[in-house]
Amino acid sequence: MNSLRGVGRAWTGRATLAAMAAFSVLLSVACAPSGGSSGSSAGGTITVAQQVDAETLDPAMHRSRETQNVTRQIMDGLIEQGPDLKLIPKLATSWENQRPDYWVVKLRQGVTFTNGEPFNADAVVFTFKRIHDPAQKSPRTSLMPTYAGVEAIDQYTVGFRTKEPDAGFAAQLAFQEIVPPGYLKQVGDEEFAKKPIGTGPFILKEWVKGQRVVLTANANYWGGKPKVDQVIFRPIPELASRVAALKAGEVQIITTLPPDIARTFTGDIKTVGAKGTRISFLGMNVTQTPFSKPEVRQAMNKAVNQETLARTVFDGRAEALNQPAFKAMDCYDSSYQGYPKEPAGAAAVLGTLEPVMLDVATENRTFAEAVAGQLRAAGLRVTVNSMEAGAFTSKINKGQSPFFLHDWGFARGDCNTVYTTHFWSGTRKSQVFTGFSSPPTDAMMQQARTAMSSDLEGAKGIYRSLMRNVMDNAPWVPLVTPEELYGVSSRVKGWEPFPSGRVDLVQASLSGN
Amino acid sequence: MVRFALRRLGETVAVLLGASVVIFVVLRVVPGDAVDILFSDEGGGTAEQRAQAAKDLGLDQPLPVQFLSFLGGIARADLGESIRQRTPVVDLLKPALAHTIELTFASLAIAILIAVPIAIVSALRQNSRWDRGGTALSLFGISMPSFWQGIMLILLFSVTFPIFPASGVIDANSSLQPVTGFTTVDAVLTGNWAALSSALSHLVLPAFTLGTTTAAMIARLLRSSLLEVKNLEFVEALRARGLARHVVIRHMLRNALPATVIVLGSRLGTLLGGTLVVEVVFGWPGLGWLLITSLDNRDYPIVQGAVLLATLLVVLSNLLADLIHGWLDPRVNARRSVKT
Repeated sequence: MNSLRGVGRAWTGRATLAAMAAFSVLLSVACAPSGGSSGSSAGGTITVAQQVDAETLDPAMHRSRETQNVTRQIMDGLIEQGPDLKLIPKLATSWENQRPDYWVVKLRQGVTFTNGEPFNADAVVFTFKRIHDPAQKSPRTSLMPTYAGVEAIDQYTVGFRTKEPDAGFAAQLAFQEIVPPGYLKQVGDEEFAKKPIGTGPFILKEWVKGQRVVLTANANYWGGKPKVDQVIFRPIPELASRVAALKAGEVQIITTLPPDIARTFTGDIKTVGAKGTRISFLGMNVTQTPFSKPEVRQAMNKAVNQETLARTVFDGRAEALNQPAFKAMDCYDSSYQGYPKEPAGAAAVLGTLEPVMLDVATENRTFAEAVAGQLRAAGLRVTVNSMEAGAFTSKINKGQSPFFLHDWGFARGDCNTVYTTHFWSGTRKSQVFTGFSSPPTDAMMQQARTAMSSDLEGAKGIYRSLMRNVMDNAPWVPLVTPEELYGVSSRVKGWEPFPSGRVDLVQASLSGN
Repeated sequence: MVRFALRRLGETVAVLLGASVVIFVVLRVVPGDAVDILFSDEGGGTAEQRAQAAKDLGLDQPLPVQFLSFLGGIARADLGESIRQRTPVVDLLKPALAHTIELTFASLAIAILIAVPIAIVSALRQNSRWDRGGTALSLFGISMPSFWQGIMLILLFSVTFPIFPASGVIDANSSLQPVTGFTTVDAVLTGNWAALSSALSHLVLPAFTLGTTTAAMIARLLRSSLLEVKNLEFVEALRARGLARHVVIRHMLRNALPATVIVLGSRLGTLLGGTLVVEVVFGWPGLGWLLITSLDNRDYPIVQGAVLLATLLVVLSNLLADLIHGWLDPRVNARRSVKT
């Protein structure tokens, strides 16, 4: 046995040495310079890490913000939504609501796609007809619910017809990029989705699915050459890994940053925020007990203190809401005071109720716990029930959740979308949510939509009455609009995030290059 | 041997058919569908728009029709088209599979590199400090959640001591020409040494994270097997003949390895499961990541394809382990021949 111990000792030494040698070889190969990781030219490379990869690069075939962040670098829209949600000309120079159901858009002249194909009315007509062609099966048609048709008036003017008067139609144009008809017909849909070209500030160099989209600056961009030479979009699904990649200097901008992580950033990385366009709310199903009673829903509004939530859960990086609109929205009513915060008074109603369950998608669980805490303080016996996002969506769509916390994006910033999506009888058939709609609110929505094109102030007045009506009925407790937060390397200069979550890198530059 | 392999292949087809039924049914039973998720934000959707989307995606068909169409597709090696990416599922699975296989093999290599020396030292010097240390290390390796370990390794080796990249497969500027889809292999084939260096450095942390649990398991198993073998008479006989120490060890390993290989084969399924977590943590675009992101979107064709492929991999790895077992231990083949 002793001799075997000797064998063991000899092996101990050999095995350890062999293992160390192998590992050091691996390390030496692995740590060798990997060749030009920071970009080779003076402008440098900005790498943006998003949660997911682009789904496709065909702007007609997705419903994903991360995808649009990439396509918008390659292709321009007619109109852009600025940091204050105001519309800015891009490929369109002006737009006019000539008749209640007809919009005339003047186009920028002298712009070409990167293959030399001219940008003109034909390209615009082709782009929108393609999206609305049933054979195309584009998932974006519902983002332009009032679109009825498009036509070329002359080479640089197009006309859009709407199904009904829609004063907010121009904002819909801000979310669609223009494609080159000649190139697309030449290469076909499938190839275009992998290798698109456009009129945008960057040109696609390479897209390796799941790994990276590499874009190089378009030296002939009509809006001026971007300051950086290269932009790379990388998908990093895990938040902690995105943050680590930012801290390690592998990426310069990370998206989808929660406030609790944002507050930890110091030194070479900082948090940059834009006023958001998402509204989070408590939804109460008006057809189910105990929320079928208006006094219960009103008491819930008195029990929740949005200011406290914005300050604590969101670290002050959220706008507290007392109505189903944020301040940048066209119909926001600054004179509305909202429900008084009276948890003690609310307790008289909420304390008598049977225990309730607050449904929430997993990613909003922490927020829901904080809201539930306030409701418990007002006497409501409530437990948080978090579930996978898909299951949650299905449950609230079917109207099976009596009480839920949800958030919804309103990037266009128009109130019509809020009311149509959440409080109109027409959409309650397919997405029940709270189940709330009423003939008077339906009528007011119709009046407001019609008035928007002829009498903007009148329309705003109608929206304010509509808002008060909805708040009195109280199917929602509006909560907050969180800021869109990004982690950014302090080397990045001149970059400003947009409320809609879009990443515009034309003006961004990189110090130290 | 050939009859054995053919019989196992027949069983594989049955397993795949069963798996396809299960995954199809499970995906349709869990709440939430692709249309719900497509219209779950900005703009929503009216009943008409949702019905149109369901029709466009082929989700308006009765379930048996959808299932038969899915089975017919498999027979033609066509797994359908992704709902969200509008790309043939096969085109998405191919690169993902290559990335997962590359990661799995690298993790196995690391596991063996760590486990074999520990097992040998522990077994030969039973109850010594080395043995107790090795056992404690193995216990730690098995108990450590790979999610936590991955994040810790990133913090340590990417942020605090920036030696390895935090995520991804290769540097964005490596301009590697794809040949086989396996990054390191392609780098060698094209002689792109900068790309090879980058690919290896990206591989170290995820492979190490995935490999440590397996290493711990191999170490414990191999140690037990070696302890059994150590006390057999043939070892004493070899030693009595004056054979060199390393030759004795080789003979011991030859007798101890078969059991470990069988367990390793069955572990490959668990390793694939582990890639779900590790790939997400390290931004590694393999099967696990594809599966997770597609599940979030209820992208049925991708999920079905990825699960089928994973099932196939597990079955094949078990088969491979059986064959290697036979090669390492001729007595097994002899027994199979008698049975068949």
